[in-house]
Amino acid sequence: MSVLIKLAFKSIRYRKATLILSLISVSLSVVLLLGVERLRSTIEESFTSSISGTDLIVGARSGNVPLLLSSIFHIGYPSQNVSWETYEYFSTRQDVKWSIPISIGDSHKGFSVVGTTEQFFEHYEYGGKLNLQVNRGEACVHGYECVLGAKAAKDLGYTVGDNMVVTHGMGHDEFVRHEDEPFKVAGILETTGTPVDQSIFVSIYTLDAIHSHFYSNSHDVFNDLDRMHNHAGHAHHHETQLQNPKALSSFLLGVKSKSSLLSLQRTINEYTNEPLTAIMPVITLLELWEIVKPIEQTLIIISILVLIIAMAGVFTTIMISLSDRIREISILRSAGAKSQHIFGLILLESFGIICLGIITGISLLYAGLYLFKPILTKQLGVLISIGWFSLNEIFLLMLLLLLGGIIGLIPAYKSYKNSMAVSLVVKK
Amino acid sequence: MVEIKDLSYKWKDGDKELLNIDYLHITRGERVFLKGSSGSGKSTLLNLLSGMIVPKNGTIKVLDQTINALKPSHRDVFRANHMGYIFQTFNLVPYLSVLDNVMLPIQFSNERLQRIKNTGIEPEEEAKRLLQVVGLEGSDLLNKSATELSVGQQQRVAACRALLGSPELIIADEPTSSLDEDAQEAFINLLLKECTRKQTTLLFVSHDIRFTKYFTKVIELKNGSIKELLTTNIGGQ
Repeated sequence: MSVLIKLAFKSIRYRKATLILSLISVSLSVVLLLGVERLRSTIEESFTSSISGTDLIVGARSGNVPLLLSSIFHIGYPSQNVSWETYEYFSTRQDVKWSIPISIGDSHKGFSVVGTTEQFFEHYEYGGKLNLQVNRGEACVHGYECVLGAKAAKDLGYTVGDNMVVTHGMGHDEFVRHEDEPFKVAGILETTGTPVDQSIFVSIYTLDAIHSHFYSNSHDVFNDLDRMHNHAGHAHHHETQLQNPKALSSFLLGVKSKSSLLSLQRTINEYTNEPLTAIMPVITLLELWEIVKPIEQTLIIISILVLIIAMAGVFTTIMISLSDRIREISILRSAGAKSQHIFGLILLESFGIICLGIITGISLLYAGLYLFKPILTKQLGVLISIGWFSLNEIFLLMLLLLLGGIIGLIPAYKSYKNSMAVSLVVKK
Repeated sequence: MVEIKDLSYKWKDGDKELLNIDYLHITRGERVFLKGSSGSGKSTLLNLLSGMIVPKNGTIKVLDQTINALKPSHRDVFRANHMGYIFQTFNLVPYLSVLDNVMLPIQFSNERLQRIKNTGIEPEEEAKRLLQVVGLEGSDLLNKSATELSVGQQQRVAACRALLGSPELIIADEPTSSLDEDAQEAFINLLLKECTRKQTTLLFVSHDIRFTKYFTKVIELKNGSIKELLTTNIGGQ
């Protein structure tokens, strides 16, 4: 055996010019396959753990997915609001441990503005029960103070102490600016890899006050503009006259005991004073991910196809090289090598090349991950994990080795057959 | 040493017989010159002797072992232990060094390895000694890749490989045909000298009858049949 390993090693070294191409194609396809899998699982994980620790999300009657999308991912608006009385009714129930009110619908330069209370920073969890951490300043949304998600702060270039102005409506079109209500940045959060990164948190009371200020009774855009001019000179604060908001978009609940979760959900869904929907975020997140699944599967299938093509390339190279090796095989045979030795030698070489390709691929992938991790985190907010292989990845690696073995077996068997019939008297 | 009886061989049933040898006997230590033009069945005979192919009829005994009765893997082991083979040309494994090429047989044959060890010499020393005998020495040369050698040098390395571990039978298939005249003479002399030293039986195939003077037995293969042209009694078995 050790003889064959030595021979295979020297043979590979001798043929390195052609084999290096096979090696590169295998290793690049391994990078692609494992990279896609790693990215996919990271995105799935960060997606399905966008919110954890929250037992129920409650909003006006709607579908489960739209409620989740609007309240957590800030995609779309809820068509209805929930009245503040209803929020107070449920948040003060015996079986409810904590509650977070959420008001959405405003944006600032493309980042969604979330009206909430400090409860948010205390109870909101993501990933494996991770709390939100403050990077700079403090998580304070009193009055005209606001807290920025990591990406929002970075993209907007705000730092603690800066002033900013909130716009009504999502997106960049600032058709109505609450220009007389400048907010001050109180704190910036750590990167979480969740929609929190792209949010701006303000006090739900202040947000409601601004809205009622603008849309009081007879609302006229031209008047608003006039008033904006008039107000331009003096600072205008509502802090002293804060009242409870009339309504909110949705609220998050944490229960005292998980056993009361289902009955509470039913109670909310059957609440007669106001049509409501209560969802368990974990379940709805998985529902949502099911929608994305065909896309991720397509990605994996494409990378497997790329890998098969690379393997086919290696296979072709080895098969072609066999015809040049008839002479070498008869020399080995004359020097005492059995047909089984020839089989082993060719198998070791093919398998060796594929293994080398896999190892190179893995090294390249990890080097790439280390190199691009900061960029991926900063630019995309994706916290990719550079850990040991996941079960899926180990499965893929096993599949690769199996495929490599099969690819090695065919030329090995062919040369085994050849070597049985090879004549020691080769005219050349 | 070698005994062939009632041997006939054809590739497939119904084909013309390629080889038909009633009797051939080679004594241990004999140096046999086999003359045969292409198409004479020479290749077939060498493949039969080395156990690469087996005949339908007849027996081939080498060292009292009927090799055509052995299983394929046993024939491989037998060949590895008892036979050295020199090709006409392209004798060396291209990716091995000169020394590794010479050492190749003892990687596959424990018996040949043991024979060297029994003399109290390290295998590598024995390989170097043989190479020195044929005029190849110096660590530079020994570590050279086989492909960097001249044809003459390659043939000499091949001879060393065949001789290493003292197999009882050496088959040399036109080993000199790719060499120039001076080198041919020198090569044969070196080969014979080492064979004599170790009482090795040599089957030397060539169609250059100038060399018959060095051999104790001259046989000709014509249309598949053996004709003995000369036998000098060397005693032995």
